[in-house]
Amino acid sequence: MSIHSNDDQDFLRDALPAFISESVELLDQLEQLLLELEDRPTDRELLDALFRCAHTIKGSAGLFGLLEIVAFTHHVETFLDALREGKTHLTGKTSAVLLQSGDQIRRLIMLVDPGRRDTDAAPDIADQRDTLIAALVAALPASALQSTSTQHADDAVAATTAAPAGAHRIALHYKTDTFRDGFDPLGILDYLGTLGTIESVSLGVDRLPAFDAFNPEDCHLDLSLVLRGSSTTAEVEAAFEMVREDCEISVSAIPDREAADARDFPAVAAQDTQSDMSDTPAPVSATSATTSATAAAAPSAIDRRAAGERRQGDDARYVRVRADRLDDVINLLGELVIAGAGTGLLAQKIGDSELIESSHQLGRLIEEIRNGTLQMRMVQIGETFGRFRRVVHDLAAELGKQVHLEIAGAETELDKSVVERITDPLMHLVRNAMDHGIETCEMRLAAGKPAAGTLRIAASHDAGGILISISDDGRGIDRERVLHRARERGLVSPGVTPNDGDLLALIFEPGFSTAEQVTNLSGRGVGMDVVRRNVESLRGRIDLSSIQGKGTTIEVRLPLTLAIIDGFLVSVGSSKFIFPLDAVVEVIENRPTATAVDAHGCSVVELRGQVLPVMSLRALYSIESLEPERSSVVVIQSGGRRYGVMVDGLLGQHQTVIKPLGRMFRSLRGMSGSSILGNGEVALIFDVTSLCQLAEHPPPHHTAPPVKPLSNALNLKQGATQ
Amino acid sequence: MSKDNDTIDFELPDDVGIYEVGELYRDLGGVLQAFIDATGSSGRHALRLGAQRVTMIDTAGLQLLLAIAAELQSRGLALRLIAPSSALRGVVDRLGANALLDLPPLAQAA
Repeated sequence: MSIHSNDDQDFLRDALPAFISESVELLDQLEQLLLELEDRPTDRELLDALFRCAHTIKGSAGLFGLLEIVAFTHHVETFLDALREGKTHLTGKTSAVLLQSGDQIRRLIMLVDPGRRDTDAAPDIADQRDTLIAALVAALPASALQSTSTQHADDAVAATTAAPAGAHRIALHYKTDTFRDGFDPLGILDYLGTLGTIESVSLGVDRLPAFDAFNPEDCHLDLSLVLRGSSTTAEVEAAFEMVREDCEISVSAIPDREAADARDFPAVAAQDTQSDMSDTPAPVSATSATTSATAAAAPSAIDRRAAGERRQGDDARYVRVRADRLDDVINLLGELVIAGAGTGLLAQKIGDSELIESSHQLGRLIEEIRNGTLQMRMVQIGETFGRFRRVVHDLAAELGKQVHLEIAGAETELDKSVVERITDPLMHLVRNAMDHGIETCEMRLAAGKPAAGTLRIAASHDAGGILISISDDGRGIDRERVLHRARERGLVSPGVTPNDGDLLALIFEPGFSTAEQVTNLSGRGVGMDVVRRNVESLRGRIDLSSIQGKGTTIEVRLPLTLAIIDGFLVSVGSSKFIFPLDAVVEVIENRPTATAVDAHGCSVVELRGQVLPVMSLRALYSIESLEPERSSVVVIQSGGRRYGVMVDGLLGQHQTVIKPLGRMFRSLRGMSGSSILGNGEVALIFDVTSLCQLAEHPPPHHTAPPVKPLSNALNLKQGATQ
Repeated sequence: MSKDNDTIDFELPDDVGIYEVGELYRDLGGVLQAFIDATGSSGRHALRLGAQRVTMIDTAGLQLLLAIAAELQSRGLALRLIAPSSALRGVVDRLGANALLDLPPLAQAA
């Protein structure tokens, strides 16, 4: 058996990271639910979900023998149970205690993380625990304490959370599937052995059928015992956390003198095995206490399988995949897309209709695989937004402000890697808005605004990308002070007054980030320049608008994914370009080119009676080639505006694998990347937003003598304009 | 009570766990039936199972032994575990099945 227990130890060690990451996710969820609960304190679904979170963490921790976590989480769970049973109500104070309790569980979990053992494990962690437990118990009315046990026969102990330690009489009535579920009663004995001395173990065999009718894999046993030790009833009950679905449990504290006589304690009378255990909410099925860290006994692969099943959670079943493996697949997929396009071109060239048909079929399948694979990387931005709830909650308390947080478009999906890299910049923007945007209640009331400020975080899809906006109804940006500061820092020459857009853009200059309390957006850790740099490194863009006294809105535009997009391929001369298909509204094909363009390559055309501004790529990028007699206009939508782009040829939809531009071309304006076409040619991918800006504010040097398109484009470097 | 001889009716394998009980049940069913059928002629009172090889036994394995013991008892017969290994005795002790299998606790025996 020692072999098995070694196996178990190995298994536990291997499974610990999964436990930690799962628990951290559950804690995040717990936090979100708690914050939502503040708005809807009696929402039964929320309360149930909260209870499930705490219950699952407790169950998993028990599986790993992490008694500290089990014992503490038990108090949280008990309180949540009382909440959902309506025995107590959520107040601002208890809500704060629950949030802090979540933090406490998180700290306890971090302590068992082998990778983070060296964390500043606060020496006062025990004090915090005791304070929180006291607060949780105090918040629980006496009636709730008593009735918990009557409501849940199997939960008898929860009632006596605060009961003194001593002897406990435990009766276990196992269900038929116990063994099949991977549970062995020996395991629970081992586990209990860590809590105290086991006495008077007795096996009940009354339910054993006749040998002929006996199925050896069914369990027909009952077990009763007396546990003597210093454990509280809560700790004893926690030991059974993971076996609740496999047996009916009765735990009762017994007076010491009675314990001495407990030898006669009979095996528990057979109860109705079908009795409703559905009140046990967590999916903690089929796990064995053998897997406690101290377990020395029973076995086996079944435990492992069961533990694996349990981890899959209740709401949806997930497969955890390492992100880098997925990245590898996506990289390969990129190559596949290019190779597929190459095959398609070759088929066209050969002109064999069957081959063409076959390559079309291949192309369709590749597209489906591409969509499916990219979908795997898509996560909802709401998870990130959710974290802001806590920040806003805590910061509002800290700053003595009242802030109402509105979240919209939380279900908007974007690439996981984008989400990961945008979280910190967004967090900074939220903090800024809280810290410097929204005023104190007094100031707001004095300004004739409602006492509580509103912070709105919204996400939506926009022109093939995602638009995240963070707006507050605070004091807005004081342009005078910004200008004053900018002059002080030498960012604006004396006597020059920049236009409003440029003035606001100064906020993003590095000099501003370190300003202490001077502007309304002074830095907090990272500066606004870092925020902008982070956004731009994601091929995104950040815009700021502000009305003094009314509020500030910051809009962050990001591409949906960093890997592959649906593109629309066009040609100008011999050069090929790609627009993100989502940004293309329509095309006007084959119209006479004879439109006069100005020096910047800009012009207007009439589209259904409306004037549409258009730009000539040939002029804008000084592409050397003869202008054809007829050309087409691609109508692009960007940030609520429409404009047209004149091109020579429309080559159709194209699956575009985005390759980053090399360092030399990274600052190329209007472009977001490059792609390799099937025939090996390189096409540049437009960033429609910056292309639009480029057309509005063309670089001064763009009339430089034309050279090859790419090298000429170097003249369009952003640096050259400023 | 007739005197049992030294015959061992069946030698339990090394592992008597949840994975083995299905097959063991079939084997032991045959052994049990043969023993019961022969009690009249053999005059033996106890079915003898060799238990010295058992290195791993879990509760499912123990339950199988208990089921045999109960079956025999209902017929006025008995189960005798011969030279039980310490692994087996440890499990019997821990689950408090000593009386059911007629094995005194290890600590007491030692």
